[in-house]
Amino acid sequence: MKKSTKTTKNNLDERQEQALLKSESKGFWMTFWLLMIVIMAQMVLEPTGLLDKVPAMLPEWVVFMVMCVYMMVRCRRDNVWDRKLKPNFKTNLLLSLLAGVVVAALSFLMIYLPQREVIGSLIAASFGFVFTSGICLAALSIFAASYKKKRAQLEQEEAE
Amino acid sequence: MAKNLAIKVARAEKDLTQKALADMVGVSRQTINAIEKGEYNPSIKLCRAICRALNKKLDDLFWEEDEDEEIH
Repeated sequence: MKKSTKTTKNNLDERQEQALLKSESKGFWMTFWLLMIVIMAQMVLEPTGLLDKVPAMLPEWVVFMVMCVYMMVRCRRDNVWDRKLKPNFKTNLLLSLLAGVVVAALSFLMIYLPQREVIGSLIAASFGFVFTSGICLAALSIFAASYKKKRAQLEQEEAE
Repeated sequence: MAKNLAIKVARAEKDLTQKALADMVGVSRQTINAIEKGEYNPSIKLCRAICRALNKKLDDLFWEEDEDEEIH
């Protein structure tokens, strides 16, 4: 049966694919061990009360951010964007709006569930949507421009 | 991994730039550069595509005599 090229098309060539797989593999194990350390540290420190002033989920959030920065740096170094997504304005806008919707829903639930206040929840959701979409779009646009510039530079250079 | 001078020579014979060869076989110029510099070991599929583009045999471009001698 013939495969649909629309669904199987990969933006990366085989060398870039290998580079991304390597980054993902290293990123996975780094996250695995960091989370393991966080869980063990929490198990040991929880009864002592030392974590009372640490906001809930902060350690996991730090691990998540470390992973994000690690993948960003590796992809930047290898000049890899994504297998399926392309660095254009339309895609960046869609992704930013999607992130905005997710944050809006979370913001709404975080206010509405404990307080049952619809207006306040909607205001929080609106702010969450606008700020997240804006920040994501700005960040994606900057990184996409940087990626395109580096790619054009690398494609133009001829071997020594 | 040793430099692959055979590809560079075959490419020069056909008066192709790395970019032109890369476009012919559907990879980035950096990948062709990495193969020529011996920094990347291509799959057999890509090797065959390069051979077709340069009108050469696999042995002409990817056979390493030294390694062969070591195996035997």
